[in-house]
Amino acid sequence: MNVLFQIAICDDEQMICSQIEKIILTYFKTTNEKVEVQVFYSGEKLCEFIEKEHSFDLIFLDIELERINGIEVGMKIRKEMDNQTIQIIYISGKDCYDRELFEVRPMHFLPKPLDEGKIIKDVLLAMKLNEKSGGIFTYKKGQETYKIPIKNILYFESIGRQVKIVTTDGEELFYGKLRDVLTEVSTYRFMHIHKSYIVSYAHVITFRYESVIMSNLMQLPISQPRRKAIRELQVIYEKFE
Amino acid sequence: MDISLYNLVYIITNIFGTYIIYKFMSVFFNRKEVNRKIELLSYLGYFIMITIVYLFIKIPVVMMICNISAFIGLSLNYKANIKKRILAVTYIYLISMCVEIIVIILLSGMRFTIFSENEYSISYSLIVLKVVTYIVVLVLGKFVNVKHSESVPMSYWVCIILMPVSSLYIILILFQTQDIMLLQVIVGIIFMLLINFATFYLFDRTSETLSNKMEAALLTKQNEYYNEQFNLMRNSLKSTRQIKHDLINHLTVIYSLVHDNEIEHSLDHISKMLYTIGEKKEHAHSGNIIVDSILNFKLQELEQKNIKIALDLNVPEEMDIPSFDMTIILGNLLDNAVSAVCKLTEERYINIIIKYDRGRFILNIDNPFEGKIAKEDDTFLTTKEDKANHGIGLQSIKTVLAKYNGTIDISHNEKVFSVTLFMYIELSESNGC
Repeated sequence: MNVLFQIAICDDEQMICSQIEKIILTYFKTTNEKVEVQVFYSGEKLCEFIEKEHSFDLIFLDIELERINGIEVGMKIRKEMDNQTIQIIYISGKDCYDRELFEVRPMHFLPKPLDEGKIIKDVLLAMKLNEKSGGIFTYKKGQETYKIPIKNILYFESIGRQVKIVTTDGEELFYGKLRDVLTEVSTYRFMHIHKSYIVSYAHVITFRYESVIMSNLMQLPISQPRRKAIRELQVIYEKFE
Repeated sequence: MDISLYNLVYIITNIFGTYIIYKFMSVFFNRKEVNRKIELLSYLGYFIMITIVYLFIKIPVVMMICNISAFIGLSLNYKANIKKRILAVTYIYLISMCVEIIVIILLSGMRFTIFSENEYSISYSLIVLKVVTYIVVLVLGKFVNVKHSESVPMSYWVCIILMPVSSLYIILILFQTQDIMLLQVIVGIIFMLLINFATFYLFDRTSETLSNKMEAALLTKQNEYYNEQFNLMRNSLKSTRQIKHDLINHLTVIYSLVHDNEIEHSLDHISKMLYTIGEKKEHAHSGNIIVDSILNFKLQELEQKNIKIALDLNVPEEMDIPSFDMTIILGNLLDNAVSAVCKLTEERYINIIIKYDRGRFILNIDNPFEGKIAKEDDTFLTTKEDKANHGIGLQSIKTVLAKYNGTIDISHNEKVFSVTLFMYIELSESNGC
């Protein structure tokens, strides 16, 4: 399946934008993947575009932008637009980063001058992560079958004989077992943290040993016997990213 | 079987007795990573087993074997190496036995042998016994350093364990000797108990001294890193001044070249300039002072040793981890990687990824290696000459990791050694930084 992978580059230095664009386009000329790159020279333009038209899969975002800087753009995307799935890669002349930048949950930081290999590696990683959550989850409610993109799912909660599915758009209840849900989503980086919860790795905004905080700010417990296994799982995920 | 008053009192005091054993275990072991449910069940099991054995088979030597094996079983609840486990079990058994013998002999004035069922039954002595043992445990609990005694070397351990083991033997001999006064037995056992208290005290002091020594060594190391960082900053300031000075000269040259229409020459000059500036050393400057200090110190060392380095550093300026802990982790892991790569003649490189992501600090170091890796029960052993001072690295990393619920994953193939370290650290609340 070849889906168009959409990349935005936002930097007020035109040189940097065209450099990244060139690197990406040159690389993907030789492969089968379809990649589209759009360039923005200011944070406002980028935000406006995302709000009005559509979303991106990956953004290369300069930290030191004029007027609205990269931190603000990142915060806008995560908090105001509540978009938790766009991967953000910060580019900067400096390489010291304060905590606010980490709150945006960037995928990576790239220091200038830019390294061609790192850019390609990051794009490929972003594509891989996107692929990992690119499936569709189906469930039945009465006679009807519902389909939702897996990337919108935050977590599943078992409530009696029903399963509550929490997505970026809201909640739904359907009759089913958490065990069956797990087999259906296990290939998409979901973690069975508790007998009543299965959470999406991508939608966790803070990991702790005993709990996770999801992107809707719900804190869910990791049951005691599972803590070590969940930690090992994260090590594996992070090692192969 | 009818339950006599004595047996009833025994069962009740044994509940307290089990609690005392639990307290005793806590003197020796850290209860941080304990599964509370299993711990509770195991003590319950101990209580039931000992009570049944006591009520039906009143032979001291059987009790002794049961108790010692039960103690070993209970000690498995806690994370510790085998040396410490043996030491703890021996001490717990010996001290509780000594106290028991002294209290019973003093209260009853009778003599009992250890290989036959004893007839003795005075209920109140049981209560006195447990209270006295409890007081002893409380006193021993003051020696907090025993808990952190993992780094006590083997030779010390042998000396320390010799005391309770030989005491045990001498006490058994005392009981076997027929023509000896009861008073002499009591005095002998009291002395044994005192010797063991003294050893315990020395053991505690030794552990403290050793851990202080290690802390001091780390502090020196950390100061070394800071000092190096300071030198680096001073040099960088100097070179900035130098660049400014040079820039004026260069621009003057270029100005006159362009003025004379010597385009070729001026381009040549500019490209030379670019080359010199581009040559400037790469340093770590994540803003996190401790990470930068350690990395820069190591990077310099690597550069001198001609080792290639690929560094990917993505950490916030402020992290909620003391520099002390960070020094242990980064310093030790980098030292290990450097010493492995130094042995190689070709393919000398180290890849370092350090990142902070969603509440987790993740570090990955890959380096090629040659030769054998010494491994014992899943723990990697040092291959360095000076074994007393090395090999503690990984141990102290593990101690730090325990604080942050972290874990370390060490793997290798034939050529490359890979370490992944993982810790939970939350972003410190922004306090005006």
